[in-house]
Amino acid sequence: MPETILIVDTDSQRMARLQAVLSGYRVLAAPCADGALDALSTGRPKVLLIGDFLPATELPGLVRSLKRRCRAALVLVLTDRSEVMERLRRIADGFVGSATSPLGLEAMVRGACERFDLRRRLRLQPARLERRILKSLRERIETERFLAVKQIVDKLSAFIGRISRDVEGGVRYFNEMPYFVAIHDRQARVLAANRPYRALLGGKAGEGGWRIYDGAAGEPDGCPVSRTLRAAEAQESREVLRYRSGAKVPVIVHTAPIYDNDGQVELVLEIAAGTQDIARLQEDTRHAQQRYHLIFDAVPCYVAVLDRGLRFTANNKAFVNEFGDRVGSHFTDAFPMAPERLAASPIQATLTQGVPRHGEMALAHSAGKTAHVLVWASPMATAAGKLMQVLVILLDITQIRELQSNLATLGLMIGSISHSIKGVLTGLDAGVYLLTKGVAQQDAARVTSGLEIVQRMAERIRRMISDILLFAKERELKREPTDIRAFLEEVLEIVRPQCAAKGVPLELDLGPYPGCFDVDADILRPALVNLLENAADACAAQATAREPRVALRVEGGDADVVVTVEDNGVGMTPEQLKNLFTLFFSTKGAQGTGLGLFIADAIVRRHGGRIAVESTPGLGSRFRVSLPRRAEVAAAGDHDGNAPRS
Amino acid sequence: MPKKILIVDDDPVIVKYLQAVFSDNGYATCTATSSMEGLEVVRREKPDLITLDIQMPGEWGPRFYRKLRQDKELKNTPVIVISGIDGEHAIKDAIAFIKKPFDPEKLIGIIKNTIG
Repeated sequence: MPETILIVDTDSQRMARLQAVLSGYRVLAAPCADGALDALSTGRPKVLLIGDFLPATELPGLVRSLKRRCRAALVLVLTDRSEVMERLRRIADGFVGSATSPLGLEAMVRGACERFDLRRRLRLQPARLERRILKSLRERIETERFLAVKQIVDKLSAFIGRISRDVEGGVRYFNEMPYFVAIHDRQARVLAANRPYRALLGGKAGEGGWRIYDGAAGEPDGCPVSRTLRAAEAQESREVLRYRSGAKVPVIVHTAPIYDNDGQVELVLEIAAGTQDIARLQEDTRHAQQRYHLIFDAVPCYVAVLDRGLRFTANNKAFVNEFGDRVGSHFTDAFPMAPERLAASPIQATLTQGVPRHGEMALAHSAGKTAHVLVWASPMATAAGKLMQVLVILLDITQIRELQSNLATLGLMIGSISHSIKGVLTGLDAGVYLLTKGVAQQDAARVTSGLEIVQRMAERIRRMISDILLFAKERELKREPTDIRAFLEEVLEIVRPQCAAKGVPLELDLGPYPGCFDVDADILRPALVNLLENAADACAAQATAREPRVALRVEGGDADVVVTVEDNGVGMTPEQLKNLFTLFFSTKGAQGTGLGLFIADAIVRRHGGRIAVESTPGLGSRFRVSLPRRAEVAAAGDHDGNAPRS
Repeated sequence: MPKKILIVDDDPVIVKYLQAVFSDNGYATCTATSSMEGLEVVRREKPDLITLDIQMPGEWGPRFYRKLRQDKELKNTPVIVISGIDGEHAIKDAIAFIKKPFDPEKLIGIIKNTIG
């Protein structure tokens, strides 16, 4: 049959909690003092649990009146209030605080029941008194010890937390630190100590806890444990420990009282940790941080850290030297770019997807310079995996890109030229074949056509070589005032023989005297020759009966000089017009290198001018070359005509 | 009646060259300078063999070749590719690939073996 317990309390929540914990008992619940008196007469409980629902001055009266009704019962008071404890110290058999665990409560109630039985038995069987008392005491000590251990574990974990918070940098130092833990009795004598304590301080059980300290703390009354006993609350102080070896070590000491069931300090927990160790660890960390910073700055690429809003939070030295210190500013402030380009960048991808990404970007920065960079972006996440920042490493490949572009162009050119050369060689074979056979067969027509072909191939080779030389020639423009009329007459002189051979007449319309312009005649001349040759080719290729015609016209304005080359040849489709200035694009099949117009366009652009084209298939084409008359004006809009096109 | 060869090439010099080589060896010739024209000439002249350039303005040789093979009457006409670029992948079952510049003796040898 379960033991009977009476709970008297007006706090219904506490009542319910107690009932749940004490489910192994027959619990009588009284929600008020009057109810308690009724319950006492019927239930005969062994233990009374009484709540502190009355003022501290009135509670002792209630407890006494209840005890009179049921003399053997033990009284446990449910309270955290010290004045209640003070007034009931002599009347109650124990106190249950709100911090008491269910296990502790259960142990206290069981102990009380046992004491109740003991009291009764004492009255009944005095003969076996001694043995019963001893047995019961042993059981009681077991219970109390169990509770004490429980409290120690709780306090220890709380203190470990507190100490580690005291040390800057938090818990990470704690495990690396030698710390001393000891438990002392009411006389400040060591009851137990951890291994470092025993090894370094030589503390033995029963020795005074003050013996490990230097100075005032080394006296029985001055040590942290004694102070804790007197103050009955936790203490923290800086002391100096004396190691067994004689070494003196500064420490931070935390002490905390451990109470018995009656609210008296029974034991003191003492934890000491070396401040030198903490300082050493802090120093180590500082060194490590310095080293990382040195590495950060020494990396031979641009390194930056961006937050989630794409603002810079760190730039390394190389970055600062090239782009300036951008910490705090937005990525697009440092490198202006269209939102869609940023959205497509590896940086944005890393930010969105939280995974490393790499790619290439062209970053426009100060003074209109553009850096071609390889970009590696890596997410920097917290331990919980939340993306906080993006680490961005930029490697400048501007020069490599330019070189690559030149090499690609060269490769394309070699491919294109080798194709043209094959055509020319085959053509020469044809001419030589017809010549040889014509001579052997005494066929004059064949000889003539063989000779024509050989001449045509020689012309093609000349054209090809001049294109290649022009392409290969890359020098600074030497712009000098040049008489436009004389210049154009030179140009015509060059193309006239070819046009005559093709049966295409050349018209020159210089209008009123056009004056001079600032050009590099040696470089500009081949560009115009190319346009005129193309015009003649276009006329020669058209199959209609109309009279072929190529016209060269000049209009000399104040700012610009416009040279127009017009033909009534085959013309070009819109598709052909679109690709006209593309490298290696040719409308002439195997007979063109695809270099001429690309270079002509580049030359005109280097002079700060442009070429506009109109064309109608079957009717002809018109190329309008406008060039600034003066070099100063041209310089403002100057482009490097040999820059790679992408 | 001599065997007839169709020459498809956009370069008039090559056309003239091949015409001379073939007629010197007793073949009749007809010519076309583009794929479209080539198809017309094939249907009209029913040549015994075709020499085909791959890279031409407008429609390229392979296009001509596919259209030729779709025509039941013409699909067995042997084709020799004569080109400055590699055409082995573009035209699968041509009887020969001749790279420009070429040896006319060798070309004639192949033609004799094919159509006599």
